[in-house]
Amino acid sequence: MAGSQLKNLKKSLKEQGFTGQTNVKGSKKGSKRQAKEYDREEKAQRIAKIREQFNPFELKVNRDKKTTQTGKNASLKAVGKPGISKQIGEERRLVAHEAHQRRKNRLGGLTDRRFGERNKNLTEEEKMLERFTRERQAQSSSKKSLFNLEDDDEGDDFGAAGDEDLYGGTLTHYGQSLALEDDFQDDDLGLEQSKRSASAFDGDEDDESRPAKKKTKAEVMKEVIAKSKFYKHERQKAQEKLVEDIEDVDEEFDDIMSELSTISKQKPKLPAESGASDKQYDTKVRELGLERRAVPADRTKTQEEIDQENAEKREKLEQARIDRMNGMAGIDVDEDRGVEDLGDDFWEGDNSEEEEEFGEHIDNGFAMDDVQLPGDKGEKGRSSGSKAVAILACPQSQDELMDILENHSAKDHPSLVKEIIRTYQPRLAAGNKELLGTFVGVLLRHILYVSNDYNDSNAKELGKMQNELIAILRSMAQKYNEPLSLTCREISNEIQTRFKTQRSHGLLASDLVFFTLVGYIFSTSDHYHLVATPSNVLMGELLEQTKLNTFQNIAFCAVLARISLTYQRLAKRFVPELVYFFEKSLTTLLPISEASKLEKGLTKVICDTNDLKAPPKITAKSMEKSTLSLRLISDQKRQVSDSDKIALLCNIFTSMEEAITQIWKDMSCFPELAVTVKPILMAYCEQYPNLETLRVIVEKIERFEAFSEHFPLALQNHRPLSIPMHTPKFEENFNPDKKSNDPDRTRNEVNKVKAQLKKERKFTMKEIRKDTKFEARQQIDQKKKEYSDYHAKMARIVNQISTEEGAEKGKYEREKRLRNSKK
Amino acid sequence: MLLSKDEIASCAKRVAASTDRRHYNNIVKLVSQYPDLSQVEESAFENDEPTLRFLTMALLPVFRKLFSRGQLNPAKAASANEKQFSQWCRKLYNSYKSKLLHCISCIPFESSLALDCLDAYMQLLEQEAIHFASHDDAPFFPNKTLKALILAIFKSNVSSSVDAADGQSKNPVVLEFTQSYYKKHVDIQYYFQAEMTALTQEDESIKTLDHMQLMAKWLSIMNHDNHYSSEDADLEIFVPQPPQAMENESQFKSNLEKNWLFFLNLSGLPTTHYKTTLLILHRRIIPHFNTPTKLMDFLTDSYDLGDHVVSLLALNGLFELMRRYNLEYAHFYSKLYQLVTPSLMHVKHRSRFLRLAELFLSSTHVSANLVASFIKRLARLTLDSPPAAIVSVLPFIYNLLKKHPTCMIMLHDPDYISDPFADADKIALVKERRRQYTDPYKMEESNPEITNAIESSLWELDSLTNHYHPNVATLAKIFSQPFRKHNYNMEDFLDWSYDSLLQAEVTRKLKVSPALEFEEYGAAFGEYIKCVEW
Repeated sequence: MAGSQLKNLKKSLKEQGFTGQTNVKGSKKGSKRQAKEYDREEKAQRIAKIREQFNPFELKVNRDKKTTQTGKNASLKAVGKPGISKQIGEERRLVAHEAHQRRKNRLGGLTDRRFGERNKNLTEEEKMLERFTRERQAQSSSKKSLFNLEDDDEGDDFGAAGDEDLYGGTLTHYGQSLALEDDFQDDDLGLEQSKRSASAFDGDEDDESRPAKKKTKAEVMKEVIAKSKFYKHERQKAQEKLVEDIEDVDEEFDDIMSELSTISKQKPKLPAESGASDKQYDTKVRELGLERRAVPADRTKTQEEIDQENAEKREKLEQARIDRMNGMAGIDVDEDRGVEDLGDDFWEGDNSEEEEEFGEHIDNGFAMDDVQLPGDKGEKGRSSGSKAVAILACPQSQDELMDILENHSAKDHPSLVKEIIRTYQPRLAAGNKELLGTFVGVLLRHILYVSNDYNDSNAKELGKMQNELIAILRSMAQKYNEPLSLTCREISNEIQTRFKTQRSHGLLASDLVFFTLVGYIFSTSDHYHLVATPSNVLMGELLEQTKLNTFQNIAFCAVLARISLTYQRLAKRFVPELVYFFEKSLTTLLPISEASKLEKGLTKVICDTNDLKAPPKITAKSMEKSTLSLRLISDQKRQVSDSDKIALLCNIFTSMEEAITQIWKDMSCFPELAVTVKPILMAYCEQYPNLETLRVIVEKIERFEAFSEHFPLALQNHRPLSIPMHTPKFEENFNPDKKSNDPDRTRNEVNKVKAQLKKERKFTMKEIRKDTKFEARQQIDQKKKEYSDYHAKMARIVNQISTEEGAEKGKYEREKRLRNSKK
Repeated sequence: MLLSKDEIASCAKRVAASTDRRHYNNIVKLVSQYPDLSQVEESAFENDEPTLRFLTMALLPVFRKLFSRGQLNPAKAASANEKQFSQWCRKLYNSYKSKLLHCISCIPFESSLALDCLDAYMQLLEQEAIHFASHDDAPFFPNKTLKALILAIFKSNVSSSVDAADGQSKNPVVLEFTQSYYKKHVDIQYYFQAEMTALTQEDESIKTLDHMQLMAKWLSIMNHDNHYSSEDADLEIFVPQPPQAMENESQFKSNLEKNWLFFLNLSGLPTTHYKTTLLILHRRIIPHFNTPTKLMDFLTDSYDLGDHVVSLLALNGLFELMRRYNLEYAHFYSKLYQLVTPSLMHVKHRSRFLRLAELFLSSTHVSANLVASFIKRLARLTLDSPPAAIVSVLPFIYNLLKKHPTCMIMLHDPDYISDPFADADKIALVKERRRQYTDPYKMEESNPEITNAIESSLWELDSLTNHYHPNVATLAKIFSQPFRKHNYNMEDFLDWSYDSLLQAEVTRKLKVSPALEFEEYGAAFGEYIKCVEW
């Protein structure tokens, strides 16, 4: 529009005929047409339109920055009418508000959902019809009602029919349903057929509509007429056939009904008959079903099956062990779960299986020791135990255990301990499990304690007892794993602190027993083990830092070396401290002078003493014995004989041979190890040319060296790394108009949904804000209205009163005047 | 016998109060009171000590008075008579000084008297500086007096005064001299060093003293940071007018240097002295030297002592000299290499060695042969070492390999990779190579340049992946993984020990119950553990 706003306004007003000379002709003619009510309304509308037109805020146009120059899209511009939309919103809110106001302060109540109850546009007839159809629809949707006859024909499976038969619901004839009426009904209405024909018609229609050629109107009409005629004819034929069928059935109906009546008489009686007589029987059967003994027992397994099962079990355990050895992470989770399970069915397990399981363990433990415990356990144990049971308290510290065992000979100790364990089985009383848990630790400590005071006289007896006690401990370990592990950790701490404060003087034979037991009870091949790993470290410390200046210390370390080797028999891990011990101990024991040692290059390792040289000659007889006794270690003052030294030397050689054949030979640094060990061995060879073990070791080393391929490593043989590319990728069909050029479809979708959510959220917030504002406004309006109402009312009352008053006053005056005048 | 305190007090007061020269004879009496202390018993001395201390303190104001009266300087005397009197007084004064020095040098145990004497002597020194100057306000320092004191201090022989740990003297006189005078006053430092030089260079008597004591005293005097030539020294002057000559810093340095070298060349010093010296070498000795390279002989001697720690520290000193002062020392690395001995892995100072070795080998200009030798030798030593040592050596080797990538051939030699897809010739070639390979490394060779380590390979590290301790095994695996990490911080690995390893285990929670052994082994001893019986 050209020109100023004002000019435009004037122009449009003039066009509409509001200003200027209006109806010039008419006025001249002097027409007597008066402005009527509807004229005024129309006028107001037109004025509003003009006003709207000229209000710059009523229209809001989205300015498009890109396409302004083309101009042709101007008509397509998005135009918003904020005023109007606001108005609409306001109105909607008002409606909602009013509805809400109406419902306000009205709790509960009924909403009339009856169809058309208040609707005045519907006749009574129509209402009924509508209600009927609705009811039918509702019924058809809920098909699963019990007595729905119409659905029975669908459930033609016999099970269902039989079920209903029990309650005497559905009638059958020779196992077939008698619900013929339904089929009949359907056919009668012609529903099935009409449907079918309709589909056929659809099919035709489809076929014909496929060709691209468009038909003329006349053709279409002709076709429709032809078709409708054809169908009408068809329907008539079907109707006739139906009628005939119905007549046929009607004729036979009486026969069928008579037959039916004879059958249906018997059926309802059945349940009543059985119920009275067999109730007792039924309950009996049910009870028997629940009886525990009724469950068929597992078949007694044959020896082969048992063997196979054991083999499988072992295989499984072995696999788990190998997994642990390789440090697989998964095993931890499994074990974790195992522990939880144990916690869950803790009592249950105790109730049912504890006895058997426990017995089994004891059996296992003693089968090897060939003690006649199985029989013993059954009768003798019980009878002798029953007396002791009353007296014995479960020892919770080593002193208490000592008090109990003091008065008995060493032979009886194991059976006493067993008695204690049996007495305090967890199933017998609450809290027994904890008591026994502590007792396991006490037992371990007791074993260690006993192993410290050995001497030659009682060695055999004590050894036997110890073995039995250890077997008991081992069988307990399964059940009381945690307290036992905790005790083990405590003990290893004690050993370490003792070693730290007293150095080599703090070594005890019991330490060796402890390490042995750890290996004996726990799995030492694990990559990481909560008990075995600290023990390993501690053994390493003892091997490395013990001063090899007395025979006892060397013997201690030699036994330690054996234990360490036993630990590594499966995992075959490398223990450098062992190498160190071999070097140092052998150099110490080597019976040659310092000068010749220097000559042979054996001064690398600094020896702690020079007084412990082995005898210069070993006879063939004495060299066979290589067994060390723990008594040698515990007895510090013992005179060391040459044969002891030879035994020690042979023991170390045996350990070394084992280390070489089991562990070192597979390592890539075997030649390096051989280089360190060989000079010492050669020196010994020179000294004792007829020592068998030595010769074997040297031969083995040479053989392994010859066989092992020793060539440079290639540890860094990794797959070549791809270098990250930093040049941007060229997008073939890049579209700047697209909101997202993300090639990832799912991410794209997600982003889309996110954006949508954000938008919706914003919109909703806006709406809520508008709503609250509206509410506030409404409230203010209402208050204002209330106030004005109140004031108007008060004014009216005051008025009324004053008028009444005035009237009374006038009346009084008049009366007064009247009386005065009377006087 | 000795006079009582009251008599001493009255005598001293009489002299001090009036100028009457008749009382001056009392001074003679007082000075002669000092007994000969060289043979004195500690128990007997305890009775006399308070009196002697009182005597010393009483005589001090007397001589102060004489100073202020100008009666001790014959050169300033007006007449011949006065001069004679002054000379007499001076003689008296000198005998007092010698008595003081006698007390300082001869008491063979700790005593307060010696400290009092030292204080008195130093005050007299100050007085001399004021009054013995050629004219008033002329700069003067009584260096002869100081020299006498130095000699006395060094002669003082308090039994068992040498600290066993760091070899410094705990003699209270020495400590007091250091604390109150030497450390605080610049002029004393200068003249101390000058006179010390005179003593050491010319006087033979000092060499006859016990070398250990000498060195101990020297160390406790010198072991501080507040030196004349330190940049941030906080020093005062002791005498009011020290001479100009004192400002000659290079003179001071050369004196100090001479003195240090004299003391370091003393024979028969224990290792503790070497150790202490080497520890303060960087901060407290080298900066005060004119030519620090003169220390080379001392450092070489220290290295040859045979003590590992001292050798290592000596190498550290040599390294500093090489780095900062262009010392040429051809055998440095071979000497370092010789310190890598089997026992290194089993001793406490291993971490110190590795720290320093990392510094020494940090240069990228060191030859690959040399680095390879170090790597190989350390790797070899891990074969019989405790886990703590292995844990510290592995990152060290990693860092070395990272810094000297030429040595990577010891971990990865592509010539020996057998590629299953290569043609037959190549496979045969590789096979042949493998068969013919013999390890050329010479473990016993002491020169790291010719050990052939670079042609060897680090099988030892490969084997350590099979170590019994899971953490060590995991750490050893870094060598078979890609070398992505730039550098390991050595400090995280150096201070492990069996203790800390076990401590880490103890604090671990018992989340999972430990797995049990399922095999049956019969009796624990004899069958499970073979060759051992109860």
